[in-house]
Amino acid sequence: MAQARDIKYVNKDFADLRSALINYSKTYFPTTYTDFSEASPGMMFMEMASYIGDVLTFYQDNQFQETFTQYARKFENLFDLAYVMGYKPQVTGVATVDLDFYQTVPASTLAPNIYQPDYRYSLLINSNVQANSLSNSNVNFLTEDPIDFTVSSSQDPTEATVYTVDSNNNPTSYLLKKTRKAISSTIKTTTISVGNTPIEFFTTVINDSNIVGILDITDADGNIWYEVPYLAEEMVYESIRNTNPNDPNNYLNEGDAPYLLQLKQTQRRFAARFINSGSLEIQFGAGTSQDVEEEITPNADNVGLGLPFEKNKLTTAYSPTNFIFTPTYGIAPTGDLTVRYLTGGGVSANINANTLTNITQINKTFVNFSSTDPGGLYQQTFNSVVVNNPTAASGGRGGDSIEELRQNIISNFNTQYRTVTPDDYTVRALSMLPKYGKIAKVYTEKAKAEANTGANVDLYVLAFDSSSKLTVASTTLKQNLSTYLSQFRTIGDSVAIKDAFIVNIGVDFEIITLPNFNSNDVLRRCIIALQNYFNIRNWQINEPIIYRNIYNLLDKIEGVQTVKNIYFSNKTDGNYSLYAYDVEGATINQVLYPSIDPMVFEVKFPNSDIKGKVVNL
Amino acid sequence: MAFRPRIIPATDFQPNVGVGVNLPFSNPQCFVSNYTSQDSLKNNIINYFLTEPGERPDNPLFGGGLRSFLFEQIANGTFDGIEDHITTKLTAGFPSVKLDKINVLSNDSTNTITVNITYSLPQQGIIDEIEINFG
Repeated sequence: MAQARDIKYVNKDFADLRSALINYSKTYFPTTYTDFSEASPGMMFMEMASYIGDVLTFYQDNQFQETFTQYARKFENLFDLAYVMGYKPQVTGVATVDLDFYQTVPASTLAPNIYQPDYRYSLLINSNVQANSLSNSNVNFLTEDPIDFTVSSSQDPTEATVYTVDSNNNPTSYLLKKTRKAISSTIKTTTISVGNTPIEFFTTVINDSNIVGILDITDADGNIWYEVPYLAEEMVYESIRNTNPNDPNNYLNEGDAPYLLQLKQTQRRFAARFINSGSLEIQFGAGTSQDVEEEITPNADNVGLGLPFEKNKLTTAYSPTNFIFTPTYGIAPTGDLTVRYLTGGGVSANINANTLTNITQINKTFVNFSSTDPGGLYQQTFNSVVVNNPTAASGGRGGDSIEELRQNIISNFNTQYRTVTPDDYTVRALSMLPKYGKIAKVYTEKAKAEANTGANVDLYVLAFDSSSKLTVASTTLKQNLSTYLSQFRTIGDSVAIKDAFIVNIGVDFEIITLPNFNSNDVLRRCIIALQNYFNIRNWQINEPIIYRNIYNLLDKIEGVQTVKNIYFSNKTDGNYSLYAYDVEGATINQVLYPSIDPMVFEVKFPNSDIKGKVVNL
Repeated sequence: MAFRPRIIPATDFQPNVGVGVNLPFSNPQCFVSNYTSQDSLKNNIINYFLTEPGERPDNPLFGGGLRSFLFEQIANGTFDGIEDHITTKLTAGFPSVKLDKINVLSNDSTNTITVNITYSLPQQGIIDEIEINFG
């Protein structure tokens, strides 16, 4: 039987361990060994043991350190920690650029001598158009969104200009222009052979440099496999064009929301994660296509207490996005899988303006194709697509550094794909892709008790019209937003999406100018300063107007001696908002307060709604 | 008449108390204890000269470093170098030990040399000798 001995567990380095071993020998083997000089053969063994202890504690410390986000130093461990915390690390930073796409269409006659583009010849260009520079074909850029020249909205305008004229200077063709974001990426394809027998949680690794991510995976039967952040997540977003056949109730809002956002439950899914900077691991589920557990309806028998080991399930945390409890985590694939993935990025991708003019891959079609092709116009139009980047690409960089990984993981941990705070809802709503409709303003607040809507969170939203003026969001846009938020909403939240109120205001001010200054020049500078100040993109819902800020703004303008008065008035007639507001009553101590119901002040027509006057002392 | 007393380590008065470990390690018990400071010192010096500097963890200067002479020619110059080296190292590693004599002998038929080191510990009245063979 082992004797109880006093063993110190706090020694960490060579000297401590050596000293502890000497003490231990002196204490427990006082008559066996007493020569503790460094030349003694016995000390050689003690020092070797100390050395091993030092090395082991070093590795133990090192391993322990690697489990903490703040201290981990190996990329592989930080990648693992990132996925645990819900952050998807980047091994390359892609450059982004605005690409202008052009196509010509013939002119059509609306009425005698009134011409317009013939939109029947408009093209629909699918996503993944690839373009590069003729001088540097190594850097490819790829569009992520489709381009539909038939649709024009405030967020996605189609600009039409006269391209050619006849001898009478009447337009014969128009040039249509649309702008899309493109990223510096190249599509690569690889095939994975799984075999005929499904393998549970089949895992494969793609080895390549600068992998941006998986574009898509299709199997031999043409089924699309969807990427999910983790295999337990079974809902994926899917978008369909907002057209009459697809959704007769919403197609009238096509200009506002060109695409409808839908949630789809999918069995065919995979999770991808970087295991190091050059390896992307893809993992599939464990079920079969006949597995009924993938589509079970949640009830007491299959969720929570109905499951085996029910007591253990009392404390299970159920995700609202994965309410259906299934052990299969998607189905296991068989046969050959075709994986398309993106590579690219880096500093070299920040290429100059007007260089991306070479289209290397494009998939285009006519939206309203007619089988008759008078004078080869369809073919001519079909071939007319060109591209250019008016500005230089930017944002290209290397992947996340160790410190960036740490910071991103920590910041991402707080959100965890959930909307918890009002700011979470605001940011999430603003991050919806523009093709589903663009939210201009968002304000989140706890639902008022007297509203009695059943919701506990009110999300007030506004959109822009085609002139970038505030307007109420269409029902389609709100429906898309509702679908989008449903994946992030916590189970206890019930969100009502409402229209915020728009209050249009006019600004009148009086200034006294300094001697030797041209009054008109000073007045012009003041008006420009106020136009910038009241630019609606800088204003939030429920933001008050503080007179002092405007006095300070005008006071700083060259030539202004004194700002004598500033008046605000409510504009409600004609093209203005319908909602009247008692500006005078809402002004207290030189602050114009918003109403209790969320609203935003808007100077709708800055050129006419801001008026100034130079007065004498 | 002046009298210089011998300084005898306390363990030498306790014949049942082990001091160090004998070299070489032997079968079957591997570690054989020695029970006097004289035996312990002898084994320590052997251990010291069998250790190369840099070999001992966390103590890179420890060791006699005789292996550097292994592939030297057997000649008088080498013998002088060995003697100087041992003198320097023994003084540095064992300050209380007095080196009395070093004999370096060669054996041409086996290409080996034998080093006899005679040393003493004046304070303890110990005189002893070590023989190291290498080649």
